Amino acid sequence: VTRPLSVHQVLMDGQATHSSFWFQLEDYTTYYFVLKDCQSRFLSEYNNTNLHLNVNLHLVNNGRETGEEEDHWYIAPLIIIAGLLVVNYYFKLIRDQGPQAFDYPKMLLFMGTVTQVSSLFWKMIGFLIYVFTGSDYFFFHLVYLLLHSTSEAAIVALLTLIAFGWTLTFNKGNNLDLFFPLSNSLSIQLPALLSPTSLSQSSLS
Amino acid sequence: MTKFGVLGLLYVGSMPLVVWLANWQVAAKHRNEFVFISIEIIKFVTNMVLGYEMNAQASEYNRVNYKNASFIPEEEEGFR
Repeated sequence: VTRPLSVHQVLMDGQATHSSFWFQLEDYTTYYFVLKDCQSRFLSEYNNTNLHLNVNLHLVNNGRETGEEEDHWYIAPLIIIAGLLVVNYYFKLIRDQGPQAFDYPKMLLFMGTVTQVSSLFWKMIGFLIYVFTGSDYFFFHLVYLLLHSTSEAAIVALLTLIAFGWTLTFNKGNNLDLFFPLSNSLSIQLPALLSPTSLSQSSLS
Repeated sequence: MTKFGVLGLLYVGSMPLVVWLANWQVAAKHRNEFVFISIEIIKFVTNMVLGYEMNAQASEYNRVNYKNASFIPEEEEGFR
């Protein structure tokens, strides 16, 4: 049974947007009870907390699970372009300089770049699942968060270490015992900073 | 090393910068997409420029790099 609920005119960014809402009842059962307390004897004794009403709402937007603003189609070309650039660049680098071109700072940078592109790929997989099924993509979002945090931690650690003079004035020494935990302090903070907001977004969408 | 400073500033400062720009110029319904894609592009471009700087033989970084400097053998052994 599909019934029109209402037609609204909503002002969004100064423009009038017409929205119509329909509702469809699926597999419903109605129970109707009448209780009469003629003398109002039980009114004060009636425990209202025993009454529970559960309503499951399955909202779709013109037959689709997601709204227009939640398409996220733009991630796909971003991943393709970024992935091709990374592969092309590092293939060319290995061809020109050989595998010995990679030392620790370059490997750290390579790790940061690859995990960033990889995190976007898993985010896209999560969105695809969400678009087609409407199910939450919590697991893939978690994978995205972990990879993204790793990427940022690697790059920030690299920049911090180079700022201290790593690979410029020294390559090893007692100072590294201080600089490594210092440069990775952000990696410890990042999941704590990112997770609450990102997870709440995930649960809302 | 100025390039590394600028790139580092861009990498770390891109988030507040883009959010401020989005709140200022971008419509509310496109704000989320704008912030997300801008930050990812900035970080990716920063990574690639860093990669170029670290790998190009004639880059400023490689001119002052420990690897390209002349040292006595004892000092060259080490972290790599």
